[in-house]
Amino acid sequence: MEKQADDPDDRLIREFISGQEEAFTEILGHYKSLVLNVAYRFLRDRTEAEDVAQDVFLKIYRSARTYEPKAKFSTWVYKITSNVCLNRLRDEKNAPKSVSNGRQDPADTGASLFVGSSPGHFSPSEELERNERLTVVHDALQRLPANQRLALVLKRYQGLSYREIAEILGCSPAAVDSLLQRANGKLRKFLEPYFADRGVSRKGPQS
Amino acid sequence: MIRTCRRIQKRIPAFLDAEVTPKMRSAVSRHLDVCPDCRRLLAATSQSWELLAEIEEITPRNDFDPLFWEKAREFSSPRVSRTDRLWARFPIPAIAAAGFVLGIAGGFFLGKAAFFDKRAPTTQAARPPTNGIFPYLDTFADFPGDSVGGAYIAVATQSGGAARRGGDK
Repeated sequence: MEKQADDPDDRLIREFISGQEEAFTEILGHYKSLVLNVAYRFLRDRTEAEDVAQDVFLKIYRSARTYEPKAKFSTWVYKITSNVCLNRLRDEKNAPKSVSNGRQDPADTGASLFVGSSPGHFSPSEELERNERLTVVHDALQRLPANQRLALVLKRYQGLSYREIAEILGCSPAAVDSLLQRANGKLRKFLEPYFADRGVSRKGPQS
Repeated sequence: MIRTCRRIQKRIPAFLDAEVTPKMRSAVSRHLDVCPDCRRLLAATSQSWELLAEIEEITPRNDFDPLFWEKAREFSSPRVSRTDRLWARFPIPAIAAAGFVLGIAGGFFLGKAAFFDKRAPTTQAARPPTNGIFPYLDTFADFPGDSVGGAYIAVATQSGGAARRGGDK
């Protein structure tokens, strides 16, 4: 991801370094949704994603002075987010398991409680169906290994190019291609029974 | 054909993402025109991606910013040095360790001042090296005769004298 000369976030971070705290408010406004959603789709749990997003911005706040504008500012933000997410996952694996430590199902937490969802537009049966689909997709994502899941989240939800993902994950674009190949293969396999249940046609486009 | 299918199927996600070279793109397109299995796989991949859209975007809570600034202010408040943090975290072991180090250092300097500084000038000046014994052994000469030090001096002196006498012969 080549650094653009007129990257407005780059200007903001320079202003923040020079002592203008309000510049960070703007950075927060630009990136909080992005960071939160990467963390949410990677970790599945909203509360945990909020924690991760807070951690990410504290890290940016603390280490702003060490920021070297070699790449786009967003790449740096994605890198920090990815590291915090991976560390969180590692900590969670090492932590003793308790009943309350288990990840919540969107159906259990009530997806309609999510600020981003649109409650009130679905009938109860539609809502139930929707929550069921959400659970299936979340489960499929969670079954992927961490690095494949992260690459998939960055590609499918953030729309980043292989090169950008490679820079964030610190690997080559070819390695990202390989990660995504495997991730997509597994995802297809996990979701295939669901296609059948839902009566989704598996025939290819007619050419 | 199977080999070609395997190769093409691997490229399908990159093909859909437009991350393949133009040459590969036309190769995949040509193959898809004639291979229903690979077309099915392409469709399944697209469908799985469509399902991913079920995880909708969420928006941060209203208290996200105030919570962040609260934490950030904690960080910006007067910095506490690492040593101070260590003292605050482990007061008793730190005080004990500091006391131990000070005690050892103090004991060493006091002992040095009391023993070497006082004794060395008087004994060494009063007793210049004699009988081929190293001068510093003279400091043991004041030990009482029945002590270990006295016994050592006696043995050293005798054996030195005997050796010297043997050498003279």
